[in-house]
Order: sequence, then structure tokens, then C-alpha cells
Amino acid sequence: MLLFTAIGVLLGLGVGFIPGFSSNNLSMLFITSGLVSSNYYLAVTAVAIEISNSFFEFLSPMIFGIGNEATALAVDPVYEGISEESFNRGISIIVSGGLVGILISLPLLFFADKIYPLFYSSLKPLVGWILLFLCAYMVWIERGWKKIFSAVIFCMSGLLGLMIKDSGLISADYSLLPIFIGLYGFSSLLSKRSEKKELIQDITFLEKANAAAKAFASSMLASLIPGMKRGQISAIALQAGGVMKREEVLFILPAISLAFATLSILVLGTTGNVRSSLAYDVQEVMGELYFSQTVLFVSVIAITACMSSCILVILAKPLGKIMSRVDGKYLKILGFCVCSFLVVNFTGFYGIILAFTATCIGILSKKLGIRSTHLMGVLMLPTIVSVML
Amino acid sequence: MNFSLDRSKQTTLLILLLAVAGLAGINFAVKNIKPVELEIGAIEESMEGKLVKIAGRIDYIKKTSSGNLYWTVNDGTNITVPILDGKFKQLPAKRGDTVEVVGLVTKYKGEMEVMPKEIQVG
Repeated sequence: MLLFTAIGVLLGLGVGFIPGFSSNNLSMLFITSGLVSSNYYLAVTAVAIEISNSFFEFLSPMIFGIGNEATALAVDPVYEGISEESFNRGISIIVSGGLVGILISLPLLFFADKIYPLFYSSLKPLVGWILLFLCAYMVWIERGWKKIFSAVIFCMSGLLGLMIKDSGLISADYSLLPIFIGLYGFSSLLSKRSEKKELIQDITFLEKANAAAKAFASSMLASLIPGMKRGQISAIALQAGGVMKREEVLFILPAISLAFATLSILVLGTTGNVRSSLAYDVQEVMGELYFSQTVLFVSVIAITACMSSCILVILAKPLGKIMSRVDGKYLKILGFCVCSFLVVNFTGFYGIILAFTATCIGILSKKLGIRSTHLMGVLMLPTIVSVML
Repeated sequence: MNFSLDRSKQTTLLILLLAVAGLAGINFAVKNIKPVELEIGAIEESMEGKLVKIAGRIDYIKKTSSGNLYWTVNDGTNITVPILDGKFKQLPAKRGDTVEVVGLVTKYKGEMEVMPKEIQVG
């Protein structure tokens, strides 16, 4: 088991350096490749790929300034003339966030079968209203004209999400790629930034506990709803969290990824429902999970998280050195080229139009001084509409 | 009255207009997208999310306790067409009827499906 976990971790590491490539694609490719005949080892490797990637996928925003739906919100906090010290501190916050994400969801292993049916029946009818309230609340706490501006930005990005959802315009696998590259990638690369470098600071225990509670609550809520992805959960947590420091954002995103992954395995084991791509992989290979198998896959998640954390911490030093030596201008050009290649190669003409529109909305939010969480309307509005209708 | 805007505000306004134009363009493209007509056997995983048009005979209709219908449409090869939308549940379709379905290729529990957007019976 350890060997296959290690293989999964290395594959997840490789994918982490490739911006825009989903670990889910790799794990599905691995499952269907026939390279491993044992279903059990196949599922262990798939889990290790996805979990390790939840840590390594933060390398792409830090190096290239490109995030996927789960890491897009980390682009702004980390991608600005990052220094070696900031890079190392950023990595350590990400690692601690991921590990806390698993720790907070582990106790549910023993109560999931009682808690989930209870929560499911009482909360499910309210989910749409809760999401709507959170979005309205986030707009409401803005001051003065920003209330209107943030509502406009939320609606514009939400409209973009609604139009593209199930439209058939581009392949479902890549439909969000040009949008996220536009909203968070190109818009950051093209916006003028202040020359002042702000170091990433440490966060206090209280801030960590606060962020962990939000990560847990939003992951619990999301694990009740079919079709929720990590991007939506991050958006919920950040909407509910009000104004957060960038260090808290860096902590909460991996915490959500890992908490949601663990909870989705618990939900699969207790109710048989698939709530994440990770749970989907496991169900594809293993079918129904017994309690002992659920415990085993949760253990694989924990072991993978420990291995990935060690690798990430080891990598942080040399990567931080390289990052601080390379001229930020060249990194921006590289990021721009990689983004353009991904959009043109995977999504074609319509992808370019989507990326262009998303870039305009992203730049607009920066020019108006609106928080980037409002751009998550692209995921939130379609989710609210599909849950409520 | 002076309506002149400074350079920064002009740029912001221009970007707003471009974003609105982009949204309008995408809306137009989505409304005018043409489905790919093909045989059911040609549907594969890489087509997930694509709009397709298939035609065939309803071989089997499964009704779940929640009221959802699942048609098995056959043109020599089978594919499932989930009927989850209320407006399609009202259609007077029965086993043996020929149908034309325009919908999105999706995958559920490893099986390819066509999620309908338009259905013509007969």
C-alpha cells in the first residue's frame, strides 16, 4: 500500500507543476490504463494522486500565477514579486492548512453514519437559501459604492458561469479553464501592481482555528449537495468568512480541499453517495465501501498528506531561491505564454472569447477595488440556480 | 455641465463595455450552437459536454420512485437518455416510438448518456 501511495504522490507532484492539468484526469487515466490489475491498489494510487495534488497544485499559482478553480483565490495572495522568505512561509501555511483539513474531518469517521442522514434531511432544502444569503451578505458588508460595484461584478461573473454551464460550447472538461485563467490569471498578469513587496506573514493560532472551522462547516455543507466542487466550497467559505487576510485565504483553501476529500470518502462509505471526483474514482474501482475499507482510504489520505507535506517543505527552499532570483517580469511573460497556450490548445476559438471576457471582468474588479471572492459568482450563481430550481 | 472623465475612469468604462460585449457575444454563440448529428455508437468519452443530435427507437423506459424516467434509445447501439425535466416527462412517448434527441453528452457512473435539451417524438 505504501508503495502505491508513494507512486500516487510522485504522479500528483508531476501534475502540480503543469498548470491547468487536472489531477482527476490523471487519476482516471491511471484507472483506465490497466497498468495495475488489483482494484485495491488502483484505488489507493488514484486517492494518492488526487490528495497529493491538493498540496502540489498550489505551486502553479505561486510560480506561474495560474490557478484552477480550487486555487484561483490563492493567485492574488501569493503572486506578487514573491521573495524567498514569503515563498517558504506561504508553503508552510499551505501545508499546515492541508493537514488541519484532514484532522478536523477525521473525528467524523465515527459519527458520519448518524450525522449525515440527520444533516441531509434538515439542511438540504435550505442549501440554496443559505448560499444566496452568504452572497448577499458579502455584497452587503462592502462600503458605499462598492456595494453596487461588487453586486455588478458578482452578477457579471455569475452570468458567465450560467451561460457556459451545460452549454456544449466547449468540452465539459475544460469549460472552466479559460474562465479561471481570465478572471484570476490574465487579469492579475495584466494589472499594474504596486512595486511594494508585501511579505506573507505568519498567522496566529486563533486565525488558524477560525479558518479551520469555516473550512469544516463549508465542506460539511458542500458534502450534502451533489455536484459541488472545491471551487464552490472555497467561495462559500470565503463569502461566509467576510474580510480575510491573504494568509488566512492561503490556509483555508488547502484545508477545504483535504477536509472535503476526507468527508467525501466518509459520505461514500456511509451513504453510498458520490460527492467528489476522488469519491467517484474510488467508487468506480471498488464499488460499495465497507467500514473497514472506508477507514483504509481515510488512512491513505492521511499518509499521502504527510508524504506530500514533507516533499513540499523540502521543495520550498530550492524553489524559493529560484523564484527570488528570477526577474518577476520574465515570470509574468512565462505565465502569460503558458496561459495563452492552455486556452488556445484546449478550448480553441470559444475559449479565447471566454478568456477575453473573463479577463475584462477580472481587470474591472481590480480597477474598482472589489475583492476577488466576488468573481466566484461564476460558480456560486449557477450552483444557487441549480439547487433552487 | 462637464461630463469629461479622467483617463483611469475612461479605461474602466472601456473595460466594462468590452466585458458586456463579450458576455453578449458568448450568449449569442451559446444560443446559436448547432448540435453534431451522429450515430449513438460514435459517442465516446472525449465528447463529454458536447451538444449532439441522435435518433433512434425507445427500447425500454425505466421509471424511478422519484418520478424520473430513463429511456434506452437504440439505433443499433444503446444509450441512456435521462428524462429529469418536467416538460419532457409530459411527452407522449412509449416503448417502440422513434425519437430525435438533442442534448449534451454526459457520463454517469461510467456510462455515457445524452442529457436532453430538445426531444421530438415520432
